[in-house]
Amino acid sequence: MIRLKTFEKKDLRKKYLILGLGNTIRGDDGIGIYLTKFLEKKFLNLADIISTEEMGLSLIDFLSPYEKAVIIDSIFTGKKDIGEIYIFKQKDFDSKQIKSNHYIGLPEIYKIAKKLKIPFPKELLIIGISVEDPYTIKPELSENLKKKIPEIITKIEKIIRDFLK
Amino acid sequence: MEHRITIDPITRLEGHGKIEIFLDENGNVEKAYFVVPELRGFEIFVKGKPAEDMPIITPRICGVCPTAHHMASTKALDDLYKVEPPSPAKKLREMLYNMFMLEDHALHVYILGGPDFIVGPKAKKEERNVLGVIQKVGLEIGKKVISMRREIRELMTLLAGKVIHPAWGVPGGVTRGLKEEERKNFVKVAEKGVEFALFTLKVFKDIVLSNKEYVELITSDTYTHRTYYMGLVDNNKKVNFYDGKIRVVDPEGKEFALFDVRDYKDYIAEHVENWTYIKFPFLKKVGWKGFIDGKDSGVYSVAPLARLNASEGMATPKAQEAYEEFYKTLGVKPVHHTLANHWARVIEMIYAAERFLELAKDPEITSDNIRNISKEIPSVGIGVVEAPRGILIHHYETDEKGFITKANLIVATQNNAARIAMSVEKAAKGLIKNGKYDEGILNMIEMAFRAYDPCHACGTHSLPGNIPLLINIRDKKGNIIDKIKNF
Repeated sequence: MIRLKTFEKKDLRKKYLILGLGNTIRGDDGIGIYLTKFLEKKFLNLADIISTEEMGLSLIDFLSPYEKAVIIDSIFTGKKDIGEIYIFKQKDFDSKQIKSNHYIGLPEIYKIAKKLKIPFPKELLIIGISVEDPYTIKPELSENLKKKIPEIITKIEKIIRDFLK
Repeated sequence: MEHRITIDPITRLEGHGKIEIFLDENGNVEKAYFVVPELRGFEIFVKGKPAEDMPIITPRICGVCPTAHHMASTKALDDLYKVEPPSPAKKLREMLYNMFMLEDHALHVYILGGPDFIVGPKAKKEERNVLGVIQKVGLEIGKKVISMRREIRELMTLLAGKVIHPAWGVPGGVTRGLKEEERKNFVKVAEKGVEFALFTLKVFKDIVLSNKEYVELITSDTYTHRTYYMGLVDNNKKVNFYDGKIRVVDPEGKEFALFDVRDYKDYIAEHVENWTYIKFPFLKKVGWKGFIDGKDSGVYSVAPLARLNASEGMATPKAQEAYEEFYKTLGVKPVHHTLANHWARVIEMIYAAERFLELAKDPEITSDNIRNISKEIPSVGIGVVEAPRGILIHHYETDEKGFITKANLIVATQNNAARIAMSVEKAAKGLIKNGKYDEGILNMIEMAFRAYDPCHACGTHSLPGNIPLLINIRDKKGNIIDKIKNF
């Protein structure tokens, strides 16, 4: 996990967070973490940049201190749209009913934080990168996704800058 | 972690809970299977890696049970390098492990499995979730659950470097000990943990056990299977999560086997079906007779209920009281009701918290003597722990330099796979008659498998946060005639 010193020191913490999620030994599933490394250089003065392989309820602890947060993660659509970018915002959660309780995802975290009055970013942007194979255990991205990296970075940099304005 | 969004047709099914139902000529259920997505490529991926990397690699298979994989892997390395850790190192490992069990069980009780009972099995689906639980038990308790988990995880980070992917266990010990000045915080959190676990039992009694309808559901035939039970026990045959021998009791509760994990291949064999990559472990000495109950069938179960059934008690006082009450209330041992796993899990929370406290207060826990160095040539190493979901075995073989030549993992959900399939089949048989069925099947099946807390060893989850469940209905010839899904 990249954990910048600013994250530990409350007085140095920035207002914004860019959080990369994924599992780097499950092929394309690691894309969120992979991208965070590139974004670190670009947004260092604007946001805290953290990547983690944690998930579920523990994400509350990461998100809680920030005013705005961007989450980058992989998304599997089953379509041949590798590298495609999907954007979700907080309002998308409001319209979603929690159907089941086996797994804790972001909509639930948001609702739990709201219910328990735990501080939570006022605005949340989720960037999902469509991937080819997040299942095979291997430490690198698929070739098709690798080819798309420069294009993905250009696109999401713009999306994040607009969001953090 | 990966989000799955609903796009039809879905072309890939790994990561879903997948259920295959086969109908006979009359449209009634002949067979039903719950398919756990396999981990593709693991054995190939680790081949050639240094064995000492395994405790770092294996926790990253899955974000749900990393500490269990880390510990099973570390113990496999002790065995591989034939090195016994010093007593303080064993105690530190066991303490961290009980912290993890307490935290993980709390998550299941309040957030994953709990809603079925705390909110109610017949409550509307949109209410039967963590928010419904908070509504029922109160905001303060909701906050307590979050803060308890956070405090435990902070201490785990202090000790093991990371919560999700500890870098701590090494052959013959651990890389960091506990300082005396840190101890008091561990004791304080452990004391809170005991209080929290006892409170959880009270919640369970007040809401679940006092409700006649719930008790009837727990003890109903739909959620009952008479199988063998397997769990790790200490020298007094009491439940132990970190170490001990594997004990198996038969469906009548008689001891069937008591063995060291190194001999697991003499007791456990794996049955292969042509419709799934998952192998079904069964008791070798009984034999595979199919997905059926009873003493003549080698199907066994692991997880909290199995651990209680396979033991002769709990090693800590309050947990022992709760254990006795459990069997006294249900009137029989072993208890065969799948949904009693929820109650057993609460009893285990008490044990984990009490054991955490005992070890945090242990004079040896702050010793500097935390590692022994091996001088042996490695060849084979086998380790076992009780993951929250049951027995977890790591088996490695290496060349003389310690590079992996072969790895085999038997994970808890795999140990339970046959019994989960039976639970799913029973639910399907109860709901599908003469080719007629409805979506009620989803809820009954979800309740049947959620009790086992199966780990879909991948970060798959979907918006809006449900485990994607796909049911294929097949005719006699195996052709798919219909699909039911919740995503």
